[in-house]
Parts: sequence; structure tokens; C-alpha cells
Amino acid sequence: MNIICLVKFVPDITGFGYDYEASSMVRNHTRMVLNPDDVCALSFAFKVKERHPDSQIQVVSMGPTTVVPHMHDLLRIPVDKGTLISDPLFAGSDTYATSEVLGSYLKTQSFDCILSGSRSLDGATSQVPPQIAEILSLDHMLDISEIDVEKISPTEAVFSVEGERETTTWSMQLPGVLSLGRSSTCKLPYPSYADLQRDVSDKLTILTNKELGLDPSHVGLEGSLTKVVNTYDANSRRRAKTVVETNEEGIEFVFSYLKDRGFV
Amino acid sequence: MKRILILQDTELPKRSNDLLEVCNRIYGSEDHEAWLLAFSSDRENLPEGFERIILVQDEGILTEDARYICAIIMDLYSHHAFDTILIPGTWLGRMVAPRLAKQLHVGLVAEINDVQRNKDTLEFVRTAYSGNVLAGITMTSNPPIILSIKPGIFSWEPESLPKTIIQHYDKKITSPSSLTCLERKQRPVSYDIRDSEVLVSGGGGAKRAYPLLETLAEALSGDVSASRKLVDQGIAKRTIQVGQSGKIVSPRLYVAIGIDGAIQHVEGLHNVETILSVNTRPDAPICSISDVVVVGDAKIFIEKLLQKIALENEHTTPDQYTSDRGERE
Ligand SMILES: Cc1cc2nc3c(=O)[nH]c(=O)nc-3n(C[C@H](O)[C@H](O)[C@H](O)COP(=O)(O)OP(=O)(O)OC[C@H]3O[C@@H](n4cnc5c(N)ncnc54)[C@H](O)[C@@H]3O)c2cc1C
Ligand SMILES: Nc1ncnc2c1ncn2[C@@H]1O[C@H](COP(=O)(O)O)[C@@H](O)[C@H]1O
Repeated sequence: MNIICLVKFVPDITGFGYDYEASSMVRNHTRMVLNPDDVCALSFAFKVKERHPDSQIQVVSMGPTTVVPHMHDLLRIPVDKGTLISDPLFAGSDTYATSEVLGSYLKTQSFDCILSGSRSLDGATSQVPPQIAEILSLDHMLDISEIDVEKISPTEAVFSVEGERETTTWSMQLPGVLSLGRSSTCKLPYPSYADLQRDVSDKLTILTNKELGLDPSHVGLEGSLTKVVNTYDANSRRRAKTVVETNEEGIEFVFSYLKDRGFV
Repeated sequence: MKRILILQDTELPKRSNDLLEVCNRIYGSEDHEAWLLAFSSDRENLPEGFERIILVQDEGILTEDARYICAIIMDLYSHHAFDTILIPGTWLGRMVAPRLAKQLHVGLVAEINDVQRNKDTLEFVRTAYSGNVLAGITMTSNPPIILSIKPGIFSWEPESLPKTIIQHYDKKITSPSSLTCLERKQRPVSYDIRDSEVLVSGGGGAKRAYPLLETLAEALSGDVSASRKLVDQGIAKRTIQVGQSGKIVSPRLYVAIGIDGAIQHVEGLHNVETILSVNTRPDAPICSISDVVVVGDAKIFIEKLLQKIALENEHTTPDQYTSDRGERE
């Protein structure tokens, strides 16, 4: 199998807190991490490679060059090739422009399957994968909970989606785009000690618009069809609270409070 | 006259008309009418409030096939040139809207939870940076406006109901997609937390007390929901997760037990009348947004409150409860 994984590095916001009393965000540290859904996509690619060792895995990411070390980390676990699309021209791209850029590169590649995450953590909302599928005229599925590693072949994939009321199993012809998500249990392997030291820079290609040759008015801020014009505080929900304890008095208070409002 | 096309919410077909509120927010008093694209499988669930319902009849269709649905919408658009197309932000909608935006070469603001009208600009508001900030976004592309709408935020109150014309869509459209459904396994869901009036919700601090949440929910005639922490740990089902990556809920009473109140959780609370939280830490963020805070252990709280309720139920008239405590403490 010839697999391309779309990966994005996002600020690790799990350490962020919110102080509602002060209405401000508490940012402890901003580390970049591989988007959790993309971890699932990549770990599935590894499963395929384990079964079919002749499989090729390429990771493709669009982002600033500051993610180069992170791309190197991926190339130390069994990823064969890395492509980072990075150009100041592309900065500020919305999803429309992002998928144009990624799509224009993917058009030049041959692959059986594109794997991606379903959602990126930093506020985007699953628009990039379906838009890439549209650009490449391919089928796509979102929120896949599991792909059947035994059934995947260069022409077909079988996978399931856990929906609200039913779990559905699907088949789709490949090439196609499969987006994984909704599972936080995926893990990537650690590189071996020897690999930690290895120079992998020859496996990473950095592409700019010189190579891609896109019309500058179609990318970056200029090529974006949406524009953020305002930001608002997500929190103005403070309430006048009554504080009690779990002693007799507190329970009594809660009970009457609920009773007065007809809940008991 | 502005014309809006709304794609049916195939998960909650009857609530498709909540998106009419988005039309009102966008167009205000300007003359507008809304059409619904619906599938005949949900015939009995057709919502009110639409001028026209376009009912797709094709028996063999897969209503989960985003490319097929896009093809129908594009066909309708070529005849009716809608000013706005609204797509529910469901699993299916999240696959349809981005494709549609690409086909029409327009921007897409996804999963909006508010619309702001300032003079002659429209700002669509959605969460950004994992829910820590709200971003106001404008479209720089020409019409149509395409939006996907976060489920559970908007609700529509009918003022007057238009007479609905039902139009059958009989055109045979072949889907370019190869998608085939091999199996459907129904999952038993007894309730939908989006419909619950009372939710007893458990978080990381309610792990030990989790089985008791059900009992408390019963006593309060409500249902159990959970934070992502319990869902990720496999204790609660994903269908009952409240929050940004779960569901938006609007109960009258929300009892948050052992929930810290991370912004991605709190984002799931919309128009909640009363919030009661139980937490060992009085400075947990959830406490600031609660009407009543009980500082203490989840399990002890639930047990004591259940005792209290049982005791009161045993005893006679409702007004006597204050004088009637017994030795149970
Ligand atoms: C992109 C993104 C999306 C997310 N979406 C969601 C979402 O949809 N829903 C969601 O819930 N979260 C979501 N999260 C996760 C969220 O940030 C928090 O990690 C999560 O809500 C924490 O759950 P919690 O408050 O139950 O658990 P914890 O953070 O573990 O908090 C436990 C709380 O219980 C209290 N406690 C401990 N012991 C006891 C006891 N014995 N009795 C009473 N109280 C006790 C503690 O003081 C604490 O306040 C998301 C995160 C990200 C990054
Ligand atoms: N800049 C990017 N570079 C590579 N892949 C991306 C990029 N943005 C989004 N993706 C992929 O698309 C998925 C969904 O992201 P989003 O559409 O941003 O929610 C991610 O999990 C990635 O797999």
C-alpha cells in the first residue's frame, strides 16, 4: 500500500485553563504536538506497514518551518518520506486556501489512500479533508472509528463509524480519503535509541511556492474566503453562587432549593 | 425576497427548523423564505415552518452519501440560486458543507454558534482555539453564504406558520461515490441528553460515585450525562458527553458532580436555568458559573441527598420536611 498521512502540529492546549473569575485564559506552556486525531491516522498506517512491509508511508504537513524537528521525529519511526509545505505566502490561509495548497501538491503524488484526522484541535472543524477529497474528486469519510487492517487493499477499504444511534460499517473504493477520529487511545511507537540519534533530514522535503507555483492571490490571507474580524471572550457566564457543604445544613439547603423549583 | 436552502438534520429531523432561527438572525425583517431538503424516509417527521419542502424520493439512496447530497444541492442551486445554504453541523453535514463550498467557490464558516449583524456586515461567530476564544468571521466571497450550524444552540419559536408546499424531487441523480453500507448495528439509546430537562452529570471526581448518578437522576426525574474525562476512561458512553466535542445541552437543571469546568465542557451548556455543582475544591472553575456550589465529596453528597429525598417522600405533607430530620445524619 502507498499511504499518505496528512498531519498537522497544533499547540498543546491541554495545559490551558480558564479563570472565570478573572475572565482570562491561563496559558502555561505552548508546546506543539501532533494533532491527536492524526496520531490515530498515522498509527493505522503503521499497522498496515506491519502487515505489508513493502508499504510506503509519506507524511504531508503544511505549516511553519518551526515544525521541522517534529517532522524529523516522525521520520525516526517508520515513516518513509516527509513533505513539509511551508512558505510565508501561505501564512494565514483559511481552510479553503489550505486545502487548495495541499490539494495542488497531492495531485502530483501517486497513492492508494490518504489518511487524515477528522478534526484539528486548534479550532478548525474537519473542513480540510473533505475539501481535499473534492479537489481530487475522491470519496471521503469522516469520524471513522476503525479501519479493518485485514481488508484494506489498494482498491478497497472497509471501516466503521460509531454514530449516535448505530454503528455502521462501510466499504469504499480506493484511492480515497479516510479521516479518523473520536478515539483518544491511539499511540505512536517510540523511536529506538539508535534512531533517536539518526539524521533523517534527507527524508524530509520542504516545498515552497517556488516548487508549487500557485497563484499568490489564491493562497494565504489573500486567497482566503473567510476573514476573522473579531474575537470575543468565550466566558461571561459568571453566576451569583451560594456555597454550602455536605453537612446537614448544606443538604437541607440543596433539598429545599430543588424543591422550590419543582425538581423534587 | 431572499431564499434559503436548509439541509435536513438527519439525526434529529424534527429539529431541522431550529435553523430557521439562523435565517431570522441573518435576514431580520427582510423578506425571506426557507426551503428544506428532506428525505422521504423521514416523512412522518417533517418539521413545520418551511415555505417549501423538497422531498427526495429515491428508494435506493444512501442519505449518508455526501457526494450524492452535494449533487442534489448543486442541481437545486442551479435552478433556484439560493442566497444562503445552511447545513446542520452533524457528521453528515460536516462532510457535505466543505465540499459544497469548494464546488461553489465560496468560503465556509463551520459550526457557527452565533450571528452578529453590524450595519451592513454579517459576522458569524464560532469557537476557536479549542473553545478558548470566540471568533467573529466574515465572508469575503460572493454569495451564496454557506454555513454549517452547531447543533443544539439555536432554537426557533414560530410566530406564524407558512403553508408548506411539498415538492417531490424525482430527478435521478447518480452519485459519483463508491460508498456502500455493509452493516448497520443499532445501538440502544434510551434518551438523548439534548432533550433532557434535568441532567445529573459526572466528571473526573465522580468516578467512584458513577453508579449512584443514575439513582440521583431517577430521583430528580432526569438523565445522566458526563464530561469527556469519564468518556475517555470508558466509564460513560460518548453519546452522553456534554461539551465542545460532545453535545450542547439546555436542561433546566444541570447538576455537575466532580466536574472541573474546563471551557470545552462549559461550552456544552446553553441556556441552562440552574447549575448546581459539587466539588471538593471550592475554586474549581465550574463553581464560578454555578448557582449553588456544594463543597464536598461527590459520593457523600449523593448518598446524603438521596437519603434526604427518600426521607421526605416517606413523610406526609410536602411542607413538613424542615421539621423532620430523623437520626440518619
Ligand atoms: C479540543 C478539545 C475538546 C474538548 N471537548 C470536551 C467536551 O466536549 N466535553 C468535556 O467535558 N471536555 C472536553 N474537553 C476536555 C476538557 O478540557 C477537560 O479535560 C475535561 O472536561 C475535564 O473533565 P472533568 O472536569 O470531569 O475532570 P477533571 O479535570 O479531572 O476534574 C475533576 C474535578 O472533580 C473534582 N473532584 C475530585 N475528586 C472529587 C470528589 N471526590 N468529589 C467531588 N469532586 C471531586 C476536582 O476538584 C475537579 O474539579 C476537550 C478538550 C479539548 C482540548
Ligand atoms: N495544515 C495542514 N497540513 C496537513 N494536514 C492538515 C492541515 N490542516 C488540516 N489537516 C488535516 O485535516 C485534518 C482535519 O483538520 P481540520 O480540517 O483543520 O479540522 C487534520 O487532522 C489533518 O489530518
